[in-house]
Amino acid sequence: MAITTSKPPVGGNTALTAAVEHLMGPTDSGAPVAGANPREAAQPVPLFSVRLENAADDQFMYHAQPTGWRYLIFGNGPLAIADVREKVRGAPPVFSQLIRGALAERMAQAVELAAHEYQDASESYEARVLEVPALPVVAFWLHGVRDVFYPLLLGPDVAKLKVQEDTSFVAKVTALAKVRLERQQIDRLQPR
Amino acid sequence: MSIPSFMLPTVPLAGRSSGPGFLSKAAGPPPVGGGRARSLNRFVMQMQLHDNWCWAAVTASIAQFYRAQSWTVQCVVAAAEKNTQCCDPVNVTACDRPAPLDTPLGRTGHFSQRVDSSEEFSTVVAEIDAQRAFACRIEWHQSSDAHFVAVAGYSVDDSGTEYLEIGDPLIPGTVHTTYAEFSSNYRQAGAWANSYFTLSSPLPAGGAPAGDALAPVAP
Repeated sequence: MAITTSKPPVGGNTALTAAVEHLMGPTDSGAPVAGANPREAAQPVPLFSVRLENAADDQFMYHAQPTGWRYLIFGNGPLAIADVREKVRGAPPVFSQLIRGALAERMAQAVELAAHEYQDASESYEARVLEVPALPVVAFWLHGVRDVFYPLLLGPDVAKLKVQEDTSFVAKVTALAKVRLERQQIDRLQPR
Repeated sequence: MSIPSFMLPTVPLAGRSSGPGFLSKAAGPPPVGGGRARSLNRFVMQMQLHDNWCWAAVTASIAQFYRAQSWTVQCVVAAAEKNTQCCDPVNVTACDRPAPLDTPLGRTGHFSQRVDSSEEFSTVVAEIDAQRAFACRIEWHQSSDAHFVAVAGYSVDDSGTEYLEIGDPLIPGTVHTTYAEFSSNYRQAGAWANSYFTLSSPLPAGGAPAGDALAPVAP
């Protein structure tokens, strides 16, 4: 298999299930709803985060810190993404966040595209999610002999961003980060 | 959708998908079983239109919530704050800058006060129950950068876990997180540093409290 995921966290499903039941209800235990699929979570992928200051370096992916695991929740299509994280290394993970809407749909598109394009590749890739929360940047990331990125968010203009492999992703992120940092520097020097 | 083999096997979660019906609930109150829950009626967070306009998006969204029609457009909010024509794309460089939230929110007439800390969950509950918008400034960990968001709702599950519904102008969709995570580790990357209370009844013209010169800023 060319695309792999790292071992999911022990206890992650438990942390996820309780929060999802509460936030996404209904938690029906009775008769199935006609035409509705059972709600399920795909195996999680590790979530990595990059600080703004590091994102200005074109080697920023090497500064990425693991911050948790991201689940894609689906039923009749993608419904939400949800994260769990270890507060203390080795401790049972805790629920961190659930985001409904476009990000889940975009992640599902990226995952399908990545499988189509790299599942049968001769090289091995680990599936990850990369975030630069301050920019905002979110990308589905295949980490391997080379790094492959499918941006899900790249700056504030979400509507114009098509989900596809972007070979200029690193350059776009560093450019966004440099502009942000330069403007911060100028604003610090000027009276408000 | 088909789940690729590298993300299998799937894990069943309790409940059944309501498909598109579920997604249509994204801007409404979180459905909960048994616990307390409340959301701001009709609150919709606008996506920020430029990299540094979280303050403009939060202000415009709060203005929209309170029906302060003069301030529901981000470039109008920005123009007043930056004292230049921000609805003209040629001025993006001058307008797309960090700013405090106090002064733009003050112009809408709905700014009450800033507290330079996080707040107790019970305080947030009181604001949402009173249908008052409530904004927060997040400081990203190990960074000089920050970001404004608004709390759009809360809920408590049967085990007592406290949740917040966050309107984030950088994130399409609704963010649900625990109060504990939001306070110290929002999006695994930031901590709640400042709180912004609002007024449901606007102050009379000219009576808006001015933000001080050292008010914390954010993109």
